[in-house]
Amino acid sequence: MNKLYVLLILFTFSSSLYAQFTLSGHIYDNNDGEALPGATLFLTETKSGAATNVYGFYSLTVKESTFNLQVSYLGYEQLDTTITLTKNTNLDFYLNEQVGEIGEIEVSATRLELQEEVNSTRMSTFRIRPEEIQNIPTLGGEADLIKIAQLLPGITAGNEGTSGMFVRGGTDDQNLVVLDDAVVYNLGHLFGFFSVFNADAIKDVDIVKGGFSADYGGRLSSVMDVRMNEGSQQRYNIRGGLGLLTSRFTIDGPIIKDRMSFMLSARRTYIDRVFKLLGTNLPYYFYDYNAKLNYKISNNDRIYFSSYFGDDVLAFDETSGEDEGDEDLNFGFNLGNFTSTLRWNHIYGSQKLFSNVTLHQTRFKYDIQGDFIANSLLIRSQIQDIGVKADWQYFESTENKYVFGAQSVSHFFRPNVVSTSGDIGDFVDNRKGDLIENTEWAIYGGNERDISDQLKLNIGIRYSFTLTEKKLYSGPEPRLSARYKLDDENSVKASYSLMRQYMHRVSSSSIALPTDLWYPVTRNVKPQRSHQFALGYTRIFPKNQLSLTIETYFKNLNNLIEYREGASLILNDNFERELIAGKGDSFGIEFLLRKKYGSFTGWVSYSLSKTSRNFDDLNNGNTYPTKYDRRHVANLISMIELNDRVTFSAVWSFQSGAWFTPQTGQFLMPNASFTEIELIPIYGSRNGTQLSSSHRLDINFILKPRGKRRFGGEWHIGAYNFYNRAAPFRVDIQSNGVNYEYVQQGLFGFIPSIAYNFNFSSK
Amino acid sequence: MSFFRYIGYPISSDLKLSSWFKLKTKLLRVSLLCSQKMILLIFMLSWFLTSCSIENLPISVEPADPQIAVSSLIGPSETMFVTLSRSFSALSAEDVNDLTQDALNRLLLDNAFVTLEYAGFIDTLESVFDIQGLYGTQLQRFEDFQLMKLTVFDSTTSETISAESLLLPQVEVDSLVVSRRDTSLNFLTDFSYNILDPIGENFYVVHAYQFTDPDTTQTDSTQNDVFFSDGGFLIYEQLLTDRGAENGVIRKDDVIEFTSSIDSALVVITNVSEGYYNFLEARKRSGGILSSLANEPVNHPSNIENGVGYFSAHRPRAVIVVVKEGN
Repeated sequence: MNKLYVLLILFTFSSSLYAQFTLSGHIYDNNDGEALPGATLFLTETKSGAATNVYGFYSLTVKESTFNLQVSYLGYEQLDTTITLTKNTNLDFYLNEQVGEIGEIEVSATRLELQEEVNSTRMSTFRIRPEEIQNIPTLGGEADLIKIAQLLPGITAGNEGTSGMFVRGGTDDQNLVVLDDAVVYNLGHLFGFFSVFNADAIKDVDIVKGGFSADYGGRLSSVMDVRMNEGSQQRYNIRGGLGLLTSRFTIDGPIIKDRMSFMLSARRTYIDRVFKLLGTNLPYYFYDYNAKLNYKISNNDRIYFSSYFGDDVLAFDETSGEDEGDEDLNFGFNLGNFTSTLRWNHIYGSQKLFSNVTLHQTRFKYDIQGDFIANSLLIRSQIQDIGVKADWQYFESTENKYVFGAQSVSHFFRPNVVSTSGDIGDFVDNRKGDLIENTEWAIYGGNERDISDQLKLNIGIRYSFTLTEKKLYSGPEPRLSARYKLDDENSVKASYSLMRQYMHRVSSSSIALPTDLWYPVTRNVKPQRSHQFALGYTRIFPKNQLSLTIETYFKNLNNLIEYREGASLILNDNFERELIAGKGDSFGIEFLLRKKYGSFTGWVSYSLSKTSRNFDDLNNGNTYPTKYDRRHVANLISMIELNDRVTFSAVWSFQSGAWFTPQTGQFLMPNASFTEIELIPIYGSRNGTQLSSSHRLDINFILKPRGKRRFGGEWHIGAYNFYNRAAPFRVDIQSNGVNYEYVQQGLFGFIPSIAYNFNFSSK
Repeated sequence: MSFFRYIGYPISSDLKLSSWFKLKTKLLRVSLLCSQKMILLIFMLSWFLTSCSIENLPISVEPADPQIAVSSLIGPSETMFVTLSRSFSALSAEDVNDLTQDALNRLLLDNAFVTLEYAGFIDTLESVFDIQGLYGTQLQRFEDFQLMKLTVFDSTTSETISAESLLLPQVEVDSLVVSRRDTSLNFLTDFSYNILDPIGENFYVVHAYQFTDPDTTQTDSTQNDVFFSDGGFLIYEQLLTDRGAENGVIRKDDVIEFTSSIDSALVVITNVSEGYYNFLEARKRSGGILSSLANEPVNHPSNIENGVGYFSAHRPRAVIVVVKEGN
């Protein structure tokens, strides 16, 4: 055992025996001073390199005193420079946005970007760029991050048009969605048809489906890490858009040039106004605000504050008329998220150690209220998180990097508060809604290092625990990723992750409702747990600027939570008796061919997968497919710059049908007193019948003025479901005039859309 | 600045504008406000008009094989009643009210051979009250918790089904009060009842009916001649367990809203088995619009071997209660 420790110590510190200098700093957009995460630095002599972290920071510790460095980032001109180091040096790089056709240098830059895909141990990860969110056509022409994520291999959507994400056989509540490190509980407006993320306020998004690094935890299936724009350090920018359903407005700029900047963004629907013009009273609307402030205290210290606030509001107000007998009726709901994050980046003296400390707060609540004559009713549920997370990244050398940190999140649940007045109190009991508190802790560490030119390992461990009702749940969560480089253009990757989840959403519905509640584990409800193995192959085609990834995975899920058939969860404080535990498996293979560069970009993806569940108390204990176990899913996404004024984008999507439990028969049954007869339905096996496959084409044209101007406007003209084919989401029994028949219903047919987006930049 | 004026921003009176400019501004503002609404209206209308409705797709679903469906109770005069019908396709009808008499005749079993085995007796149940599908026999021996075994043979299809149930004791009601209250919500009525809960785990179902027969003036009757009556409609159903019973008494205070001012109500309280309770609970849970649209379907448990429904030897206690005037 002692020998093993000696070997580990040697392994850890072996690379620090040489005389070395460290070059560190940030990489920024030269135009507005925003940091560029994921930008690459490549040392031509050693053919080694590094990438900036999510804050745009890099640190290179090299043996050579003089070397050639290539700095590149997607969509920006490559910077080639020669560096001579005589001491540890802090140096920021500013990249210019690429304009027009890409030249020879840019081809080289794209090669570096592609090379990083081969070199990195990261797998099952996808970064969505802002322009992809803006340009890819979606329902109603509204730019929507979640809808784009649903087009990635391994991620299937729930019902058409909604924000559900089912990642590699997981459920919708197994996705960790964070906005600047604060968890977002409710992802959708208007029952999920619109994402809560305003595309104008988003800087970039990472989606991780497997091969999780040790700093991620708390959910089983995926991480969606959304980062807000920081705001330009150089100039003021105004941008916005007028769509059929919403309008957006964003402004950002410096408060103190090159030191402090801000970003404010707002969005609102006018569904209520439109219906009012049409003579119908539908007083529903949603809105959201994003704000971010960042301040560069020094080269080594920077703080950020960001916040999101959004609500869905329905407010019927039928006050009495003058006629006697008219009755007052006010009814409505108000639900939404509020998040805020305060972060402090610090670079320690050696320029090798980078830290980020985050304080974050999240609140999701819904109020349902009604007034009728002298009666009133208010139902409220709320979850609030307050957490702290501290990360350290130690860049030992280009071949060796450490991460470690700790995290704590306290959850405060106050579900089912009911307040009544008047006679309605006889039907609905008042409840104060007992406060439930729960705290999750985690510590983690990991090391990514090159073992040889071919083999690179990323080994991590996370230890998480929570104490609930005097019961301690805890356990290690090992993480491992490995890359074996076959040559400069080919690599094989493998990963393993064990994940634990201490929260779950209480919902008996097959669709995500905004009134669904989140609860922590209890003495009787154990944490959910998953093991995921993945094996992948990455190949790049630099000449064609293409990358190909093929991944196969197996995921085993334990202590999954389901609900007894017909469970009633609304205002049910004793929901635990409705919960049942089970297990599940998912496996599949995913193909992704992606082109990120040039005038023709997009991707082609295909997934073949199978997901099943087994619960003793469901389906007679027999294994059954999950509702969204879609065997084949294929997506073709293309964005083509036809000329400097017109861009055309299209999405063609195919997916096997979802599964459902059909009513196959019925019988007559008197009630217990034999006074009334009812029809009792007979159902087939759970999810025993598959809906038809669906496919859909969405298109979008972007028309913009010629050349680059300070004030720019562009029209987005598109259509959803261009050839008007139903994507079945449920089966109903309908009369055809003669008989009854089963029919599959779709939600959305051909829907045209038009929007005008504008932007303005100061000098 | 003028942009704000055009969209309705109030113009300060101290601005030195020429009358010509004021008039022009006003006209522009009005026309712009009108045109904005019109443009938006036309925009939205054309959008809705050009959006296409989508055609449903057909789908084939394997229908369930028809099976014999059973229900039962022990009614007046210690008579075991059993109804027998045949399950049918989900495509046959959507609502119980759509069933024609012909359809009912096809579904109700009138030529089944039905036997009941209990306490050493084997009774053959005969068709009763000239109601198709309804069979009955007066029990020769009647002891609480005696095992009852039902066997049904349908000569038409040569199907045999069987089921077992324990004969459950009748509920003892300690008190039962229905009193009208003076309230802004019309016809609101307090409904309080105490059930004597015997030893063991017990399950109950309570029904209250808005009794519309004007001739019914009986007070606190325990007559059992209300079954198969269509003199009222169900206004209240409560499934109860004996969790929370104190000193062998289940106390329940509830509120019923009747649809009209009534003088009497029919209350039926029944002690049922756990299995039948689960059946009734499943039936209750599967109702409701939200449940049918969004929730997973609810399968009803059954104790019928080779059949559906539930065989239960329960004995409802029916009470007709005069509604008291409240305070």
